[in-house]
Amino acid sequence: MAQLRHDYSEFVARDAEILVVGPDKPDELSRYWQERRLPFVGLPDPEHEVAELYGQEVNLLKLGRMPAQMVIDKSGQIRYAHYGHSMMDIPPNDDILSLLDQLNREGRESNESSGSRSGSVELTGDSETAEKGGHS
Amino acid sequence: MAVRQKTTAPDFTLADVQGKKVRLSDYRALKHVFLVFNRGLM
Repeated sequence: MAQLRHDYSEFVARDAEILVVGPDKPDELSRYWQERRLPFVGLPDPEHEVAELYGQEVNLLKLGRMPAQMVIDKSGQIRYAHYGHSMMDIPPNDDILSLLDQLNREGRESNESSGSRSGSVELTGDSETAEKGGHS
Repeated sequence: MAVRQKTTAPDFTLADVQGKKVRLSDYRALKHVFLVFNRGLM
């Protein structure tokens, strides 16, 4: 959580919002947010409604929920999903930030190439197929 | 069930720590979302 706060401006700069879902009671999570002045969205989910919707794993031996992270792009598609198998199994923020950079590049390319296909070569792989066809 | 990449994220609405309703699909076309599931504070 401290790491997320530290890098929050980097997320904002990439047009992303952070939503943190926790199994805690609303008043507990609320107090935690206030004490630490966390700048992102905190969502208490005491009934585990959303955790179950997204398949957050529960480790009965470790008596708890394992961390999980998803990146959802502006079109509402899941572009990244990580299910941790231990408490420390959390991807570094840098990995997430570079994925966001990639999503923003894709967004720009699809805007530029609307009408012409020229901007999307890297993503579709069409050019390679076309080239091979040309040689045979 | 784990969610799969390149599928539409299941929508949900929860009240945030200030009691304000937050719906995932409200961010659509506006922002990417980094959705983090925590273990819990205690």
